[in-house]
Amino acid sequence: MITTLSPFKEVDQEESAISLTRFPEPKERRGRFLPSPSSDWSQNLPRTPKKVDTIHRQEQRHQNLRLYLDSLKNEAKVTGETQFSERVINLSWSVWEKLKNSFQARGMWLEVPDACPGSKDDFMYTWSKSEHYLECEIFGNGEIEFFYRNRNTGVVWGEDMTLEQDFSADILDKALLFIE
Amino acid sequence: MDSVGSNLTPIPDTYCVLRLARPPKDFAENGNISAIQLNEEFTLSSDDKMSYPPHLSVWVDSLTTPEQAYKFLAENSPRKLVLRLKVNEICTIQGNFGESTYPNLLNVMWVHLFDEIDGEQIRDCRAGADGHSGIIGLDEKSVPEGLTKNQQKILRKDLRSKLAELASKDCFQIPDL
Repeated sequence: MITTLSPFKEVDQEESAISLTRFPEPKERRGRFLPSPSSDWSQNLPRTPKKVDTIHRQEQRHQNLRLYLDSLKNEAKVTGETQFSERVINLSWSVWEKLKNSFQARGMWLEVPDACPGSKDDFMYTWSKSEHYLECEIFGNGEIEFFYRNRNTGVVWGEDMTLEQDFSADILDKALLFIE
Repeated sequence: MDSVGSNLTPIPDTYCVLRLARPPKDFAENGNISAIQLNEEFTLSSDDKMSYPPHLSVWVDSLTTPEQAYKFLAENSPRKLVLRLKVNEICTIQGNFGESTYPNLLNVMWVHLFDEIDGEQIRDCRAGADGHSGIIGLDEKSVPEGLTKNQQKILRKDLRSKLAELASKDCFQIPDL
């Protein structure tokens, strides 16, 4: 019988018993990540001072990311900057919102990534925590590339997608490493 | 001062090289230039890919000052961030994919600069030209055989992220020129 280990991976039932002690009430079926029907359950969780502090900090960073992207859009409009387009900036915001909401619906806060535009109408988000490094590169043509590297083990992984597609279980599992 | 080697021969491991980069428009919010924002600087441009051999331009720091290197760039180039890397650290970077490790993928070589005068190739004699060199192994043709295109892409991302982390350890801005 298939159940889940992490909120996003298919594993056998024996392993899932361990997982349920680590994550609150999985909402997925057959290993597919499905958004919670409503976020009520997470809102009912007790808000400890630490959690409130984390949420406040992440909300602030979220707002700052929005401002940063807006400033880049203005730059693209005013200067006709050719290295990145307004479209790639809009796409990048959509990707972040979609990824953030995937976790927020489950009461989890994904760290707001560092970000910067590239020089080929691309935009990069990166997360870095101890040995874990994850990047998400967004291109003006709508392609999205994820890349993960473990600094200690040397393990690397990558996956491509488009915004129209759902995030795969592998992508969400990698992002799960950067939950606050 | 270090001596210049023959064209397209390896640079000694003990040397350091400089790369002039575009200061990142970053969102790190911590005032530091992290490896993250430097990734882009280790992707070959179209010109880099077409050069022979395909290489990322760097400069031996004992032969070329940052200010001299800057004069070889286009006028008013935004590349005023100086990244300093040790040759031995570049050459010991290994690529990883699956269970396999790929050593010796990157190398640093002398890449002499030439001017064409009356159809003749004349060695560039401007100040600092001697230090020009290149990081070899970042182009699409330099990846190990037996990997799919997607695996090759992941391997290149692995290499460039490791290079960027090296570069982030030692970087500074050129004072206004």
